[in-house]
Amino acid sequence: MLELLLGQIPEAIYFALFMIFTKELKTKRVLYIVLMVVEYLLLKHFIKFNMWFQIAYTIFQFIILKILYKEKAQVTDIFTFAIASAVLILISFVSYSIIWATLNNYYAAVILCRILLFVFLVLYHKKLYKIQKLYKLLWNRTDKRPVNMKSTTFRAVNLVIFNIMFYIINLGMAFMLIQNGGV
Amino acid sequence: MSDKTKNLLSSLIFNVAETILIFLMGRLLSLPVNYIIIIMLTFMISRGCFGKVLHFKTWYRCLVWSLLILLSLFVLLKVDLVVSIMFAIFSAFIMTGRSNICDMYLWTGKVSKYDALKNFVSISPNHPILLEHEEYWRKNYPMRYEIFQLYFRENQTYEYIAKLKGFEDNTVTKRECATIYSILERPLGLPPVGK
Repeated sequence: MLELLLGQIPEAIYFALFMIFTKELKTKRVLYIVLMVVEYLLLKHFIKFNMWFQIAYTIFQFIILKILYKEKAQVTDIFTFAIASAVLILISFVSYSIIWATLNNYYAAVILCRILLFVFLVLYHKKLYKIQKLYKLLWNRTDKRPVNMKSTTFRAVNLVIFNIMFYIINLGMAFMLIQNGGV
Repeated sequence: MSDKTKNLLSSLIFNVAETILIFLMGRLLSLPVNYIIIIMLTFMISRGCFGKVLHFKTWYRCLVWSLLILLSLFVLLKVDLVVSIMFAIFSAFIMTGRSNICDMYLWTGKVSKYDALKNFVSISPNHPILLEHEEYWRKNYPMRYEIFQLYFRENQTYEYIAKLKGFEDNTVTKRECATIYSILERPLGLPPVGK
């Protein structure tokens, strides 16, 4: 129960809210959050906590988005989701570093991490839409407006970060499993 | 040696050198030779299969980003071969026009009304009809030839061509592109250009 309340549900809600704010989704928000939580719990139940879990989670979150919001879901949402994961990794790293330097308690680190995640959402929820705007501006190749970064370079940057991030996630998950059975 | 042969030769040398560099990078990471080849082939073949391949406009960008993309795939190869293959296919898809986003408000999903010809040129760059027309334009209509090279072969923008050629605006380029398309539309079986 502690694992559910501390680890899985808040994380799934964080991902759902991040996508809602970034994509400025106005409808079916509750359904989307519920589906994201259910998806997370089901995957956690059936798949071992490793990189395959993260891959499946990314694919299924895109499928949910596509089913609920149809043409509003784009391939760039996979990268938006990766940004959400990157923020999660960063906040987790900061939380664990702080707690280990002071209390040295794993549960305290998890609680701090969850609090910081939602503080991040509260502080930046009105700015997250800029991510989507950036993708719309830079993703497609066009003659219509001058941009500083070429579409091909932008895609390559995204891909390199995306691929490397999954490697880091794999290391992080292995570390979490060693620490405490994957809370 | 003609310009075309020179271009072909230099692009061949570049591609071979790039492939060798990528392979050596994989070896530097102590990856097995067969795995390196699998990932490289998966990426290259998938990219070709998806079609509408996006190319970098300069050779050094192409080299740097190809190296980095393949390096990231090789890093994933350290974890699992299947994962790396999946990511190679996904990366290949992203580096093509197939992954363009189609936003109903901001983006029409169409890069250019001459997309059909651009795609044709990227898929069959040495098609005899293309080469024949190019040769004719090179001799009789040098401007058209240059615009064809820049716009259809190198995927340059109207703005870039105007700047390069010293045009005041895009009128000349647009007119030449329309003419080129209308000339090649029937022989290459291209769809009529959209309004």
